[in-house]
Amino acid sequence: MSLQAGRLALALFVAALLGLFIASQISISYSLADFLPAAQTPAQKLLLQQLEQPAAANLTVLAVRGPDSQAPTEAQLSNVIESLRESGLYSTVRSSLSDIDLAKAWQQLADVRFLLVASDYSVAGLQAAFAGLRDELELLQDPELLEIAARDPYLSLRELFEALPTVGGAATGGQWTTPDGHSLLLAESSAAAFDVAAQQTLYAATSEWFAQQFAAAGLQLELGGMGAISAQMATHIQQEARWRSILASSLLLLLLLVFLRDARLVLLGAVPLLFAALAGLLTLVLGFERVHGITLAFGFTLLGVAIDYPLHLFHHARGRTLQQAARQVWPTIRLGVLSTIAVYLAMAMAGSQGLAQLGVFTASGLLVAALCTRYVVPAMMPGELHATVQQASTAVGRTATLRFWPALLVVGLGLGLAWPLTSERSIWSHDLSDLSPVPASLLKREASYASSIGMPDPRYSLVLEHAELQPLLQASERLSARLRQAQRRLELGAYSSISQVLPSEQRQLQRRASIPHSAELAARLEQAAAAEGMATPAFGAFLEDAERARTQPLLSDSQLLKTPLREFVGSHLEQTANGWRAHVRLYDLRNPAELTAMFSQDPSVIMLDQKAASNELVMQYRSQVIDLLAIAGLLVAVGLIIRLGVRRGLWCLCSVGGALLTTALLLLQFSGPLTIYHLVALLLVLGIGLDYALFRCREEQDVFGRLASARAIMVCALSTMVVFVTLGLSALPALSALGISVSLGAALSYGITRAGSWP
Amino acid sequence: MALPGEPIACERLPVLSLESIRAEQDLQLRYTETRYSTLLAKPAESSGLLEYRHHDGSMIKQEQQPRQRQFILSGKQAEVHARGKVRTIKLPQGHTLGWLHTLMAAVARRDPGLLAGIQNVSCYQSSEGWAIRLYQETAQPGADSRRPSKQGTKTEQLILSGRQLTLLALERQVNKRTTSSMRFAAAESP
Repeated sequence: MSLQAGRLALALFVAALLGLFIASQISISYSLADFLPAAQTPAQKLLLQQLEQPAAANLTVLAVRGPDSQAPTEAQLSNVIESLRESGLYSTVRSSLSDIDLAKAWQQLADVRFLLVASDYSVAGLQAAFAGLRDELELLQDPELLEIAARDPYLSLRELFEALPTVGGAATGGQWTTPDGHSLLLAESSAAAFDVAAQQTLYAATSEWFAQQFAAAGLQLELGGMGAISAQMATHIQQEARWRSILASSLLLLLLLVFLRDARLVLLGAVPLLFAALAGLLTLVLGFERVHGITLAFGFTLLGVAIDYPLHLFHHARGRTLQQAARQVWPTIRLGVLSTIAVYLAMAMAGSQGLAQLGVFTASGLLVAALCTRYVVPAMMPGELHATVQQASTAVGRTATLRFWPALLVVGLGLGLAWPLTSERSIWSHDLSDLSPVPASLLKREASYASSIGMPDPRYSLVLEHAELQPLLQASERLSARLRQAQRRLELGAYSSISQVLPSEQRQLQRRASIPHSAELAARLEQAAAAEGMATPAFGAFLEDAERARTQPLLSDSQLLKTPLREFVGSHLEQTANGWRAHVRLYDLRNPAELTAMFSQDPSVIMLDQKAASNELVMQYRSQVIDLLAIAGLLVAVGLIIRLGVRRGLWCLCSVGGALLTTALLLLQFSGPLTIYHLVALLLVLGIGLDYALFRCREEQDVFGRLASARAIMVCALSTMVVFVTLGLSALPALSALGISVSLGAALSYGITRAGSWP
Repeated sequence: MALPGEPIACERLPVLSLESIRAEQDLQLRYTETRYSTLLAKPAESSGLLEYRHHDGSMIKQEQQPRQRQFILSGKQAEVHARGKVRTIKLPQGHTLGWLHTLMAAVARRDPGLLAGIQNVSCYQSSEGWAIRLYQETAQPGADSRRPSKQGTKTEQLILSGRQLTLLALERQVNKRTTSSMRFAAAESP
């Protein structure tokens, strides 16, 4: 028997061409929203959109700490800010909202201030403005500020900025500092949060810049924000996955070399896996606009079962050609593959694009792996294979005696262990945050930054939608008035809405009309100035500005995008495919029950409770997936019984079901409610268990066939466990959950089918 | 105001003088202030009490005449209490009140080293006592730093009595024009 090097080279050449084509076409996305089902309610739609395009996604938090873990001094922090601004890494850098340069903002907004802010132009109103100005002359030391005060005695723009508890935090004027002594800076970059490569570059560049500039001074830096977290996690996952994959692959290679005793077979065994991966990727590239990162990670894991096919082939080829062995094992492999594919195709119909991709990727990959094992691998190595399996024992017959009690016993033990929990604990995790690969410590740190900066309530917000902008702005003004009235009842610290910076045209017209004629305003101003000891001539520019404002054009949203209010507008107003949407952010909300009572039944306002909406989505998603899997399982069960007969079919189902159920029960007992990672792992366990059961119960041509199947299953189980135990030892929650679940499931599948088909 | 003598490091301010004030006691100074501004019809006279509080390190400027107003400085924030309203404002870097706060802390805590944290501060021994002078922004390197420099320079100067280390005066100039002038009575501490 010889390896046909030419055919192998041709296969590799075809694989390389396919690989190049896929690489040129593939576009990878990382949005978790792709993995959730289509939204049914307005709140769910908003939730999915926020998962795709989170607010403040391009902001990086720089947490700076001084030597000996003390807060940095004012001078040190100023140096960091100045150096960061000069570095060109970020477009803006702020250490608090008050960093907005009023003089600069004045240049851009002075002309529209009469429309932006309501002012009282009566004598009493002017007198109050002058009194306030006198109170604060102490603080108005800069000539620029004095000039602004002369043109705007109401100091209306400063008042406007101070009233915005924006994404930049409440304008209490203080430095953002965490309880553990980090001073926080907010920096805005052009890199999108989900552009992981750009975020990794930015993260590395920022870390390098800081180390060069400030490490010698003993300053320390931590980077936070959505982009920095995704960069950090991507780097960490890549490093972890890389070395664990190398370790697992090395162990697998060693194991296969030990059992197959032929390097050529190990090489050939990789061919179905290679083409399975390429076929899966090709299907995704041709069928979907973009491929999700999670699909690839989980998909390659699920394809792992494909290594079993060539192992069965090689073990059954003792003293035969691979072609003969392929013909012999093909019916069993085909039945196993078709059953598994049925389950994956059911998953593909669950209603989420991510699951559709995962189902299609795995189904197509497994089909190609099986076909490859049947037709391609044997063609590469004609001739008889030397005996590689142990000699037959007289105690072993051509078929196994099938017993049901091992599966029932294991399930019984599993139930006994986990039963007390099932009444106390939910079986499935409803919490979307459980899907996050970010460790709890990092999430806690992020929450601390958000709290120190004064971010809005992460759970509750109000949303308004309308096809036209002006009615939306008017609705927003009405909603603001309702919130103002109910603020005490809601125990609401503050709220922010687009109405604070973009009044409706109706309101702007009212404000413009309220500006008195020049002569009238001058008379009022003189009277008020005299009462407060102010110099009337100093406010000449104010009178000129007011006169000009009486005929000025109205303010538009696009005008604000060129001003320091751009960020605020971006996080409170958006144009959608169907019109416009306004977000009202809530700060320091203490009475959410009252908020729910106020708005949950109000059709004009969408009250977004992120946690409730996400829980609802996850439950809905889980329910859809489980329903479809149950239907697929039923079809597979019927198919198996028809194909194998009642006893063998039921035995297979009992063995696979027992392994699955016990794995799930043990996971529930030891790792808590099940997540999508566990579900994916259970699907792989299904494929593996089915493979073991089908080969255990098949009628072999002779006793050596039984031994070959038994040995092949043992090698398959060992190789699966070697790979997944390696992953299970990872500190990353996703890898760990996957690794532990699959290795446990593989062990149980092996044990149950082995004990159930003795001798 | 001419200031004879060469500058010295502020850390070398005579500590002996500081001993006239008991460290654990709050430091209180009566002041009178004249404020000049183009926005005012005439210079505004006011008087009140300046207090440094040991327990929380804050400074209160309590204006008593002609109207009741209070500025509370804590960290980098100033709270303005006037006409029943409270406004919290971040104090700009180098603001006179912030500087005065640091200076009072240095005196009250007998720690002239605190002054080292302020940029562009110089200390002199003058005929009237010790003088501390602050230069900001456009002060030219190598120029005579004891004189207000060209257009745009903001300077503040403060004179302390060498014997009692009492704040005597604080003047602030913007564009060669005095915008405020504070005179202090003797410290009320024993």
